[in-house]
Amino acid sequence: MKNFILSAVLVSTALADPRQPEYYLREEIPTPEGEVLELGGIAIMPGKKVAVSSRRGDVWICEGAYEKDLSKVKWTLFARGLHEPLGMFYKDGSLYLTQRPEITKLTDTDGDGRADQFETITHHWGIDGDYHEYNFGSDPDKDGNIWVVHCLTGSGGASDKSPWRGWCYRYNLDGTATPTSPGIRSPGGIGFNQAGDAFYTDNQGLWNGSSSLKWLKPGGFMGNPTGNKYVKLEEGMEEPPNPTSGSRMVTEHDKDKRIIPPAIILPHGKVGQSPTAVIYDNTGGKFGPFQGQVLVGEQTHSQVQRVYLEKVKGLYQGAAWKYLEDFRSGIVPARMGEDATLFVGGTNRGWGARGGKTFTFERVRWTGKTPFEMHEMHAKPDGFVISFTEPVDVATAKNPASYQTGAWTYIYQKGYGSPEVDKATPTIDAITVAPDKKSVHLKVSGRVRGHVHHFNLSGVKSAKGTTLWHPDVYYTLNEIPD
Amino acid sequence: MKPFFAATLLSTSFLLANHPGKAPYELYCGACHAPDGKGISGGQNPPLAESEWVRGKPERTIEIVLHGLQGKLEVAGKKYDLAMPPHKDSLKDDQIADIISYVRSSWGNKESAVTKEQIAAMRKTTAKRNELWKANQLLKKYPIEKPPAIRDLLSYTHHGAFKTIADLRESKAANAEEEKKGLISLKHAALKNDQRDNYGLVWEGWLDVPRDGKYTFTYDTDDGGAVTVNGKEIITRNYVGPAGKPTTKSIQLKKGRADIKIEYFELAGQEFISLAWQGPKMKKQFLSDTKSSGGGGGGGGQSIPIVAPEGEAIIYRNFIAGTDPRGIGAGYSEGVNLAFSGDSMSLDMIWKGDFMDGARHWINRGQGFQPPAGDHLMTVNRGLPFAMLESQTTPWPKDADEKLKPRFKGYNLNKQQQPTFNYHFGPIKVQDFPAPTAEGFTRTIKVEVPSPGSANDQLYFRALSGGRVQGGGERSFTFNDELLINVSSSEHPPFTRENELLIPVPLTPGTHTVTINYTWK
Repeated sequence: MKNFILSAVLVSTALADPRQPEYYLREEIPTPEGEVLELGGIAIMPGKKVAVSSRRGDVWICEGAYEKDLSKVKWTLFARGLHEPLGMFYKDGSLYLTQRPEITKLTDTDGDGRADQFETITHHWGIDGDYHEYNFGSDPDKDGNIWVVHCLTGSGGASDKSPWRGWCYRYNLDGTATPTSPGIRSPGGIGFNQAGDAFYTDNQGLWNGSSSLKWLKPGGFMGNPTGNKYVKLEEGMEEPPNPTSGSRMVTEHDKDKRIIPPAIILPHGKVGQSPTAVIYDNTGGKFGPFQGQVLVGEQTHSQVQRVYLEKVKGLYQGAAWKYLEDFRSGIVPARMGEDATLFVGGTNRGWGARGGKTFTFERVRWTGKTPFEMHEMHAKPDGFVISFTEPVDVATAKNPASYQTGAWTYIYQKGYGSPEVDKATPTIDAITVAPDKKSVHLKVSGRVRGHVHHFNLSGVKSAKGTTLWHPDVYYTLNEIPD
Repeated sequence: MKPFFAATLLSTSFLLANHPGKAPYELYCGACHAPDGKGISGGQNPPLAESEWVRGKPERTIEIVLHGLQGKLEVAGKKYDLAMPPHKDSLKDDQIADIISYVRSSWGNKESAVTKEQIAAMRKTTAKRNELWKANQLLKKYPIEKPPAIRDLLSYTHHGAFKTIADLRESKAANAEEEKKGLISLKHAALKNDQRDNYGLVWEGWLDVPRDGKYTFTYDTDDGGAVTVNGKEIITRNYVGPAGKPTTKSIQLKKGRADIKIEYFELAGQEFISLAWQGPKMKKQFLSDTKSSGGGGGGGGQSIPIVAPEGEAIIYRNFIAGTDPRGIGAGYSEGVNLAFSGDSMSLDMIWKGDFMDGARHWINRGQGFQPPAGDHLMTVNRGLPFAMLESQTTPWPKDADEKLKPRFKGYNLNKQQQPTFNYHFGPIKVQDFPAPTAEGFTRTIKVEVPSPGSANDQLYFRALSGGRVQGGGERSFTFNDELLINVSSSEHPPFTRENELLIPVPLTPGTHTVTINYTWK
């Protein structure tokens, strides 16, 4: 027994990030006693209230989630009996939930604290009784559209009884439905970047070599053709692309521009295994130096990743870093609240996760101390420019030995996932440090379009002599700028 | 000898720590199976450490890793219903070989390593497979080799008209045999068909006790017998008569070997034997080839009853057997329950007693439809409840008319959390409120017609279908002899036709109310 305890302690110490507490304070928020609150959605309400929805179908409202002493949080039951809601927001006195069978507007019309009106906004899609037919819904966009990604039936099917599996639809608050993007497999979350473009995460599996963050370009095809069959149900709909198995994503994109390669590949195992929530840092610098960047939840690794997106030749692409970790369960929803407080929720039911708890509700705040990190990463015609949160030490930044490189891609195939293939080792030919010492321009040969470009900057130090908090970056190079 | 032994230990643990499969295992498998092989979060996911699935030849494990595995299965006595994705397209042969070799030699597993050639060969022979394995299919191909329930089991056959244990013990065994299967059985080779009366059997062997603790034995016989564990006679059935009332007794046992002796005698007529044991963290295991259904619980099924708070109703929206995927269950503290279809807008089922068990949907991923938990289940209607009929003899339509498409609009809850369902049939708006009573429901349906329909159309509400409807008065009916239906208010009288009760609803503008009482007889 002694040995077991010892090794368990060792394992948990090994997983913990010893530097995180310097920069970010992660705190668990106590959940209502006796309730199983496997979080699927988080909404911010007026009066410093935070609503959470659970996979069991309950909605609870938390007061005190911003207070220093979290032991005093007060919970009020708002609703029960919803069907696995995954996506919730607050608007004009109501909570809107994307449930498995429908989008529903919940209102407390008599002011007693409990929802008494459950209005169906739309039930445009089909469900056939399979647990895998999840729906993830966004907040409304500027036109009042909720973007919903409909997971396939099971891991790779599309039931005749449940149309529009494998599709993204926009559902307006007035109930109208707009087909948006086919090609979806198994999403884990949906949201917008600062520019207002919609993105969702899709999981490694059939036609997905690795998990990734995908740009929901209206009319674009996300990669998995299983849901294509439903176009026959509606007159005048265009047949979506029918990709060739065993190819590469950019090769297929060149043949049919509707095929949109993932904006950010989150290399399977290396960055995560089940990406989920999509939000962006809208705090204007109150959550650290990453204003405007997209944050992605990660269920298996119980983390939040950070992403820098840029558009090159009409396609989104960019860089992914590890960011926040040590959450107590697998992260599914995330929401930036008031006061630059990040709320996340987790569950490990049915899908394993680090962290060890079956469910969790946590908040994260910036301590005010800036970590030495890569800030952004831009593709350039001759290489990359990487910027930093602090000035670098010129000697280490100019030394090619401070950098390690690698590149690979994944097979775009019908099978489940893909190994890393077409491996290449890009070479750094020249390094220029900017006059303000806050960025380096790497001249890189041997870059490959469509590949993930991995750089490890363990040797680069800040002017103060510290190493990077997260030295690994993964850049998805869909296009090389001219 | 001692230093050498220590050196071996050292080198083994050194090898394990640096096993090439350790890092990829922890990366690709550890999130679910845990770095210590015990399954994450105290075994929420199946363990690989000392798992019977890992034991023996490696083919079963190789196929699971290549092709994945889903659905219900049992590992080390615990039930799971999960899915593991296939890895044939995401991991290479050497990675899979390293991972499986690591699993087979870690955490108490002591199986041989596998090579990448073995993985490549299996990939080739199973190349056509493109779906996940189901446990029963896979176990048919690669059965789990279980150790015998009773080790070194010997049987002794006795002949004589035994009426008591003492009679049996006074006799001498005519024959002794090894029982390789390790189960006690009356299908005994030494007993011919004409010897099914006036005999006795005695078995001796030992049990491998998994851990210290209290173990419970359940013995059922026709006629009598006894069970002796570690020399102590714990069960005595000094008895001539039928089985069905098993004897249950417990005894403290230490981990390791426990000797067991089972005695049995059959005088005349029916014969039967059943013996089982269970203990700490060990579910009921039968030691006989025939199993008594009487006595003892067993079964690892968990239950999460969903109960309406006093004076309130509770909603359960999930996949409920007997209604459609968009079904909504409502349980009332009065002890009555219903399921409403959000697809067809039909009140499909009513039942009494317990409402629903949430365990199917709230443990693991939640596959499948869960039937109602209570009793007196009545399916009062399936399919569309409203339709236009050309005449009273027109068959009830299966699919909705384009002009009369059903659309679910949600529900309102009153202070008691009781739902009123709101739905449309084309332009017609309906509010449907089933109020619980002590014996059933009083359902009030308000039909709002915005403008007059065409002269030929007549709207009908189907209150009952799919069972025997009998008239008991102008507005009273019985359904399947179990349910009393009283249409206490409607503008037009209800009428029956084969297995149906219909109520015509006027299509004049305004609100038309239908009230129906459902009462169990």
